[in-house]
Amino acid sequence: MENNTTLLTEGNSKKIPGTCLTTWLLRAMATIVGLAALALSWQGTEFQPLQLVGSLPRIAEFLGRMVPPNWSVWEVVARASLETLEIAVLGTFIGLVASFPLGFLAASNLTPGWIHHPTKIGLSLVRSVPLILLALLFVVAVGLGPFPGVLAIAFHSVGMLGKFCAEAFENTDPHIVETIQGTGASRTQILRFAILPQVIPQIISFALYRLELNIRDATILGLVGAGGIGYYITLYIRGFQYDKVAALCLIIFAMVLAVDLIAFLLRKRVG
Amino acid sequence: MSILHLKNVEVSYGKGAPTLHIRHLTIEAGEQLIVIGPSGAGKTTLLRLLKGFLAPTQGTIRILGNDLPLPRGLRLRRLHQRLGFIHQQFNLVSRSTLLTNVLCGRLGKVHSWRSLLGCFSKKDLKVALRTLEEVHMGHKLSQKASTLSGGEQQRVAIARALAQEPEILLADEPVSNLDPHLSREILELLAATASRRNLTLVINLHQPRLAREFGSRIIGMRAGRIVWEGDAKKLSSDALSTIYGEQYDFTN
Repeated sequence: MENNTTLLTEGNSKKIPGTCLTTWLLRAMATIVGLAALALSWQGTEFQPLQLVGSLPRIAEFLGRMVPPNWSVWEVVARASLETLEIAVLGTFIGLVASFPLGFLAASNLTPGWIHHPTKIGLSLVRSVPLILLALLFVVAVGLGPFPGVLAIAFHSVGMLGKFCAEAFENTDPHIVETIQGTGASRTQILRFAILPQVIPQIISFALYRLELNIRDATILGLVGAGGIGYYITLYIRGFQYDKVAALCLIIFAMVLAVDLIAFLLRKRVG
Repeated sequence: MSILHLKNVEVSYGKGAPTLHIRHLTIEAGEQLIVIGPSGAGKTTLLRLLKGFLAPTQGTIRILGNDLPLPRGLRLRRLHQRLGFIHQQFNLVSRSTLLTNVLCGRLGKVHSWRSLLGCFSKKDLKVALRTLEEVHMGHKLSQKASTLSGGEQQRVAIARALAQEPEILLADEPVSNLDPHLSREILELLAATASRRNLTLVINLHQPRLAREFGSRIIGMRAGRIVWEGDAKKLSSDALSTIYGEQYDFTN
């Protein structure tokens, strides 16, 4: 009680957050910097809302040419969609398998600093590479087709899944670990009976979430020749065949929604 | 026969007065010892020392023929297995079934690679089932631990410790998270099981009344030292004042 009353006396009023002049100045400066960044970006990107309004007739025409969707392409598109799905499933699985040990190594409660710090840095480097860049690199490395797509998705997934796995390991209850250790269990037994039951459901949940993202991401791999439905997106857009683009978009929508729903139901079961 | 012997044991963190300082403490086989004292008196530190979770800064601890601290390794695991430990927070693996939780008590006795596959021998299963029956939880063996109430969780935690077939059972404030009625039930269970199996029991407690009822011997700790020691029946209001440092009224 005494501390509270002294805090409110005049001499100490500066110490209460949000009441002194410096806080106010800092906020004003932050606002100015933020506005400046917005203004620069507006100028740098030649952002013109009026142009968007002026283009409305063109957009309307483009949308008009999308209906009715041309379903004649459904067979080739379905095959390509399946390939996209396969790229995502296999890529996610490989990414998960690689992430599990990496996550273990990156967990600060399980490995010494000289192991978990570099592993964490490595994972964030992997996370910072955009998928499309990875896909281009793998196409150069192993040639065209779905194979470089799988590699790109797998590599890209490791950045996020590895970090999530590490966090799952770090969030395990140390008291339970100690308790199981107290039964006379060996290190591997502790891992199997105290740590894994705590992390596995979470990791399955992350992997399913990553799979949802990967299916969406994999649709664009074809743009750079890394397999799947993306190839037809470029093909039909460049050929002005918007009715086919429409059919293709609807198929992608359906696929993504279906997988999201399945993943949601599965996650509800494990979570 | 004394199975546990402490001499001039000190535990200190950093500089200043030691957290724990015990000149002398002996525990006989089959004894039911209860440790009481205010929060921060060093009760938990004492129990963790006996379990081998914590190394003393100095002094000697001899427990079941082992001199502590033991280095990490097989001998420590063997000793761990002979010492059951029951925690205030139960510490069950909430996503595993009761049976798996209790089977964890067998880990010190089974081959590592077989247990990793989840394969336990008939004997281990039998022991686990019997201990679950012993704590009256046999009917829920395939339920997940997360579905249990606090009292039930502590029963399962006791079953896990019993599945180790330990010689000493250490319980760190086992009833602090339970209501008075359940507290009594759990302590009755511990005392009865210990007598039946001829176990040595060391319990930290916050309730002097329960201590007097369930203990055979009581030690009172204050500021890291043993300030009272004696037969449970002799725990008087004066003794409690020595331990808790204020006029203590037994009726509350």
